[in-house]
Amino acid sequence: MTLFDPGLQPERTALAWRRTALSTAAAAAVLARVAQAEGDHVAVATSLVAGAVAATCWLLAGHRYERVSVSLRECGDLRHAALGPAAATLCAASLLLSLGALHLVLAGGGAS
Amino acid sequence: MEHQGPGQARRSTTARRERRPRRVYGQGSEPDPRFTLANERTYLAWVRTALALTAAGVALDAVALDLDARLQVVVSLVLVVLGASVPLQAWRGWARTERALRRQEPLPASAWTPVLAVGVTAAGVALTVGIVLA
Repeated sequence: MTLFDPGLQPERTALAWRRTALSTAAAAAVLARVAQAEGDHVAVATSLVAGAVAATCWLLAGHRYERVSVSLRECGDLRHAALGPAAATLCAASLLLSLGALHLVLAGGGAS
Repeated sequence: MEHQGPGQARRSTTARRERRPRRVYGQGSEPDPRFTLANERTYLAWVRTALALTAAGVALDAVALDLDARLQVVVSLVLVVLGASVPLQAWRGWARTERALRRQEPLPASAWTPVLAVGVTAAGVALTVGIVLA
């Protein structure tokens, strides 16, 4: 296996994807737990879906790293590696999480 | 290319689908891949920032503080709404930067940074004042 960039940019980008997807999934799990404790079923459902979408992002990230590697090897640029699908999925996971959080805050309760 | 195995050939075909979003990839020429990857990591860093804002909003809502309850909910809402807006802005910023890279134009400034700075500062000041006065 030959490395495209001595600065390991594709690898660093793949790791950035991994930690972002993982953080989103972890945040979704925590939010589901908090929402369950407060009896907010909407927020529980939303954050579980957000967690599933974040898990999909993890898979898409691996797929994208593959595409990036192939494209760099074949053409020396990224013409065969689109960011759109993976980035849109991550955006969706993040927004779902936000919606769950918004519902939780607006539904009241809290500790106060 | 003649010695390509069937597996490689198939992968190349799937890799040559049209790239989306078209409004970004339909313009200009391929930039240095390192710039594209750096732009991608910036987008991811924004998403993690959004996550931190959302987490802060939920945590503030969940903990018991010696603080006016309405103020606590309002600051929570500010943080959660900021957290919801950042990924959308990040996506837009990624597209604008990628387009500028492809057209070899100067990179656009981030339009959302001032809003974020004002929002987070306001939330911090409101919490501090609220806790001191409570």
